[in-house]
Amino acid sequence: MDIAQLRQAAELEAQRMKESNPAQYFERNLHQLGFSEPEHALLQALKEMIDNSLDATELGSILPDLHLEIEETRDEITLPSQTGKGRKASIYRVKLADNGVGIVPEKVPNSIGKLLFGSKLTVLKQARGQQGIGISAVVLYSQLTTLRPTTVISKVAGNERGRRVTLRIDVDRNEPVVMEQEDVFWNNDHGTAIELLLPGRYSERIEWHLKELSIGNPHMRLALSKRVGGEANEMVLERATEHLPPRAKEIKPHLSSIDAGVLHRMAEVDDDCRTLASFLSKHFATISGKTARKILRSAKLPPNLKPQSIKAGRVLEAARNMKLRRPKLDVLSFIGEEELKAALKNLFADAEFIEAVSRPPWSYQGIPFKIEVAVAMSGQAVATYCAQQKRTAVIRIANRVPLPYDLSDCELYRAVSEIEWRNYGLNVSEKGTPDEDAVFVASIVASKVPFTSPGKFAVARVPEIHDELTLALQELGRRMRIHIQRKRREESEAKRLEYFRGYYQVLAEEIATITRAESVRYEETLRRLFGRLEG
Amino acid sequence: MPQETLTVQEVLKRLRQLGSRINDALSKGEIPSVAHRRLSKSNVKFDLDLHTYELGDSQAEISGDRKSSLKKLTALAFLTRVSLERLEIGLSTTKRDYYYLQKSRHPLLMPSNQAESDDVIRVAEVVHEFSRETIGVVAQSKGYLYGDITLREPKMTINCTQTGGDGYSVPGNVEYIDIQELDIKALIAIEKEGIYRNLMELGTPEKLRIGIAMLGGQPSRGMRRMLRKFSDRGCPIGILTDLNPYSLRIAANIIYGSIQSAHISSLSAPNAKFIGLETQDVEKLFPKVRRIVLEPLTEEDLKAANDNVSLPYMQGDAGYWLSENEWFIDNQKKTELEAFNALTKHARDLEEVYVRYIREKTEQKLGVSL
Repeated sequence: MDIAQLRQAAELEAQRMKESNPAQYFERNLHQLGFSEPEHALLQALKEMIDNSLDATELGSILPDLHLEIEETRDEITLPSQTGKGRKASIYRVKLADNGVGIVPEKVPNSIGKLLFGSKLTVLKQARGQQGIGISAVVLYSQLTTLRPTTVISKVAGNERGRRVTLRIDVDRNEPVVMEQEDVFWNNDHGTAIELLLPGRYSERIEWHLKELSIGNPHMRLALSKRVGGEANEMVLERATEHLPPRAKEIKPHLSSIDAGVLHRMAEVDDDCRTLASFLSKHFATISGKTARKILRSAKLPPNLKPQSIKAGRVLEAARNMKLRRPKLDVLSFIGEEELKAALKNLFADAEFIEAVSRPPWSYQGIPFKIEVAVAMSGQAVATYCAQQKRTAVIRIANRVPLPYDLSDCELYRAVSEIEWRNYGLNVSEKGTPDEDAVFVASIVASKVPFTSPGKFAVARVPEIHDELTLALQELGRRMRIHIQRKRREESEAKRLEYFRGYYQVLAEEIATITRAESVRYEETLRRLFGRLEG
Repeated sequence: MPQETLTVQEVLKRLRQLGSRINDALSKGEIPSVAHRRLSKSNVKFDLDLHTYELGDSQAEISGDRKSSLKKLTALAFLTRVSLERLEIGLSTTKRDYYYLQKSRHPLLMPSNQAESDDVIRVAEVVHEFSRETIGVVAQSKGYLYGDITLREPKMTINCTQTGGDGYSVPGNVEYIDIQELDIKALIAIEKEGIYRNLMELGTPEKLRIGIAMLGGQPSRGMRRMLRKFSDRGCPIGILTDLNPYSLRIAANIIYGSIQSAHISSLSAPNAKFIGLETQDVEKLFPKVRRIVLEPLTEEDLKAANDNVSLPYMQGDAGYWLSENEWFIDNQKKTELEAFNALTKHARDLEEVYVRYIREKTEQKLGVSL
């Protein structure tokens, strides 16, 4: 090609290139975000919807009360697949109503029907939607697959009526298109209900996901009514506690976890700091003016340099070589030992032993996190759950949301399976995994959970997290050992009592015959021998 | 040490007492337990003065608070009840019978073998302080008695010359048999049947006014108890056995009792005496036929002789038993009562041979002239 041709090709490409908006981006990448399989799609949609609702209640410090309806309609569609052959999936009607703060009427279309890129570059805060694609992505998925609009009702406290909006998303403009809108009577004082249609597949796994969600959120009440395969069922997960969890707090980023590029951009856009030193101490955790000057000295940068002239790489290297203080740790919304136990009790009502361990918060790379673990042992409910698992039953929860996939890659699972459970009195299989009816819960809350990769559901191996998990599980193990030993002792005591009772029965019969007594009492003697057990 | 003879009524009372004691403990919510002298070899002493085996003072306890002794306590109560019932209707029991009784009572009482149920019987003996025959648990009957001896059995009185056959067949349980009349100067207890029958046939008991008893090897418990009753009546008893290391044990068993039955003093006859065959008889009695009558010791005989050396009674009687036993080890020979026949040319000679021997030995060993 000559120069002219080359120029023409470049200009054509430039014409073809359009700025991609978030809606267009999601449209093309939905399959990467958990919507590729019908079963995953339904679960992913529910996750996003519930996250949204829980966030809405949290804003008002409200105990969440969620009503979820899942109905398999008679319609079916064929989904395209990457392998070429399409797969059939039923269309489900999904409706979730919450008692959150609600959306002011005029904002309803935008908050549901406009996709936003997350702008969480400069703030750190524990949040559910870590892989956050938000409710709008679900609306988009619904629209793309079923060509049907979404209906939203929302009401704010003090309003007499709720606003009902039927909308779709204009993908090219990333704008909601309101198709119908009216104010309606709604029984709830406040809250939001979203109803949409989705291709998907219902499985037990969805119910279990909801149950696991109740472990991460013991203060939540969730009523599910479903009609699948023509069969209607109700399931209510009552709240295990009336206590609201502590609220997550926003924190400044820490120099030990920030990327050079992000640091550079932050400095570039900063317009109220005069010097680099004040920029560092204003925007970063644990950096005093003195520390900032020390870092800059070490980075061979004058402290009164303008922020825009930052050499991000050098600053970070200097910061890394310096022992920076840990960030403020009490910024997390954790589950709590008592709450975890109560939640497990709700799910495994006949469990013989339920215990939880909450570690104090700690940090990795300047990011606060907190590990909590729990276990439910023995009983029919636990046994049933364990029977369905191929491996050690570990319910993994990250920022209060259960992780449904990628079990074996996840640090939350691996830490459990790496404990020498034998040392804690558990029966173990040849592979060393617990051979007991035991369901473990491993939870991490963090201002930012380190996932193995974006869109994945596995926590990465980070030394500090691994250590905290191990410490928590060891403490849990010690408490389990006490229980197991006591149980074995009681079992053997009970066996001994039965053994003694058998002999005393025969002895009493013989003595009665010898002494010509009608009967000979021996219960008192057994009581003396076995005290507590017999009493 | 004469053993008091218990009546059936007294035995029944003693059995019921155990029941009452356990009942008392149970009704007070206490833990029933039964103490008794420890039945173990280490608690068996040989009293050199009394010439008898005895149980020492070491105590054992069968207590209802231990898994290990709970079964024994229950089995003891069971045996006590069974004994009561069977005694009341005059039914005897063998050890084997009792084994089956215990097997069928309750799975918890199931004995792992007969040794276990036998042990319960031994425990009952030491707890109640009487022999198992007292409660009707009898051994096999073995042995005969002949001579002018009148016995009173519960249902009849019988003279041992009037029984026909081989004489009075000594039953397994002689506990409730008394010697009513005794018209004999001594009783000769003979190991073997041949010489016993010959003496009957020759009318020797009548001529010498003696009684004879046929042991048939190691005497049965019934025979030992019977001999004790003769001993208690002051009747001199001579024991006549083969000449071999086992025969020494037969004699000692009668005189001193045994380790196994150390807890039952009524099974030894302390005034019984060993009258041969002795080692000196080999030279005195059989000088001409010495080579003919001596048989070689078998390996088991020799082992028995070596084992005898350490037995407690061997150490008493001024070394008599030890030197008798020594002879077997030194000479590796033995002989039998049947050797008397080697001293006769004609059948009519035998009576004289027997009579001479018995006279000499009763004179020498029992101080009784016949």
